[in-house]
Amino acid sequence: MRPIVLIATNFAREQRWPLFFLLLWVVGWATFGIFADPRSGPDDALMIFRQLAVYSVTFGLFFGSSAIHSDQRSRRILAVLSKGISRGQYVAGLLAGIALVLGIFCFCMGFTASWLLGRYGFSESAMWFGMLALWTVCTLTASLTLLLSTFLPPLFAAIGAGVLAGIPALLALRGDTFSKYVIPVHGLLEPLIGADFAESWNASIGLVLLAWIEVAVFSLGAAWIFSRRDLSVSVE
Amino acid sequence: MALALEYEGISKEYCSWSRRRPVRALQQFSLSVERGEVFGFLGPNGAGKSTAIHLAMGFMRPTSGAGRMLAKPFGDAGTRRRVGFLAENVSLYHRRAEAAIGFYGGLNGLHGPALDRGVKSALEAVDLHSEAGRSVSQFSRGMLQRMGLAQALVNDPELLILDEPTSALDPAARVSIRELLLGFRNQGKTIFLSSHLLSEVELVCDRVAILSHGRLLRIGTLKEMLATTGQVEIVAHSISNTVFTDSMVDGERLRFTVPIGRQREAIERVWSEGGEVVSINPVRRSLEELFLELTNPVPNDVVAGESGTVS
Repeated sequence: MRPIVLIATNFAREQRWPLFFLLLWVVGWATFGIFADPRSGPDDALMIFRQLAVYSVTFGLFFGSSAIHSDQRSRRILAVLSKGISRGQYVAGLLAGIALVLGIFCFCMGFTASWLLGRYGFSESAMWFGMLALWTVCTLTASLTLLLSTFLPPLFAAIGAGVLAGIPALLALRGDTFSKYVIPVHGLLEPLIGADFAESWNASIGLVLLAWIEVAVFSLGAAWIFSRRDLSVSVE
Repeated sequence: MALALEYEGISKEYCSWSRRRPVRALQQFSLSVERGEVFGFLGPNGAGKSTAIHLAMGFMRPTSGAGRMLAKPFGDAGTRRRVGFLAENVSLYHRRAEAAIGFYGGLNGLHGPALDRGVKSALEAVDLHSEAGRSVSQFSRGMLQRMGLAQALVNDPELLILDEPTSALDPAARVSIRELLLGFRNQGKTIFLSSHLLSEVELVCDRVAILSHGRLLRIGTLKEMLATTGQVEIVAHSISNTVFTDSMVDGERLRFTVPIGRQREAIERVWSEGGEVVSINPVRRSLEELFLELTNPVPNDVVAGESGTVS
């Protein structure tokens, strides 16, 4: 467990600048809340909230696609994997690191949202559950991308994950009820994106649990594939 | 006693989608490194040295064959806790030196006072203890190389696998690393050293293997490998330099080389010309000469022309 924690905290540390810029958006959102016009403020604040939710999922996609590759490209992976850890622990550490970074972001976003959207009548408990759902979606997307990045270049892994997560969403939009359970990115994100002041959020706890099971499956798959692949590092 | 490192008929081919034919990095490679020895691993660029090392560390899998490190199959994570590895062109996370070494020690299962001791002694060993608070990103290439060595030493390993450990170091640092390696040998640790610095290998290693195009060309102790030129150098005086072609005049002395099989004939020739033999010594090659001879074979006639001949 300790190596996973070490790799996770190290990853979060390495990604401190992307996290910082993500948090700047939240700060910007909070600043907007202070100076917003009381008439148009609620709708604008909600629109920015939706944007931030989409950004966080996109960052999950890019963190997942580049985590292994950037370590390989920089050759830093050699010093890490030469230690007494398995490839599975390494992959789990990276995913935990991504979850940590995005968890910090979702927490800060939730903290700001509870103040800003709470002023306009949003239920605080529903909002925090929404943040849990958002964090779950981010981690799910990252785990899927991480899985694909074990055998695809980063760009293809990101595109592949986008397609794989998008297909169930398209099927769900066409009325298919089962598809929202397959990679439930859309199933969890849709209530957040579609939320407004008239309707309370209705993200399902069942879907959240299912998503975490799928995160575990994708992580095991990533570990299984990565431990069977040769490590390719760049030659300086 | 089990071997420290053992390759048994390992072949490794690299395949890619873009290449039609696979690249053979290693072919039926077999090698044994005994515990407690300093083993030099030599070969030109692209010979397959790094591939062999990466196979041992479990970074890749052999296409065929098998190997063991400290009596466990290659790739065993538990075994790597007893091994220190320094990669060529080392790259580390940009943290404070102390924190970075602590991170790598932690990955090897060290924690608490044992980790603190490991970090301290590793930084002291490479003479970076005074820089413990500085970020690795501010280090020079040589300091980075020493940091790489420190992360390999943090767990007090039984086996050290070093890929070009002194490549970026200045002469003083190189000497200190060499002394460090000799110190490890005296402690009974095994060192597997891949290096292009042949003089370094010659000074430190007990045994050497030379690899080229994925094949093992020669393996043995330095004494065995360097003493077998098949030539002797004869020094004589009171003899004209026209008697032996390719001879060298050194004051009143004449110095020439002949194949071992013809030394008796050459000595008798010296005596018959009224000269006196001062010394006869087998010609020892330098490791560099042996390396070049094995990895860049020269046509036979050129080699024959270089040795002394009796006219």
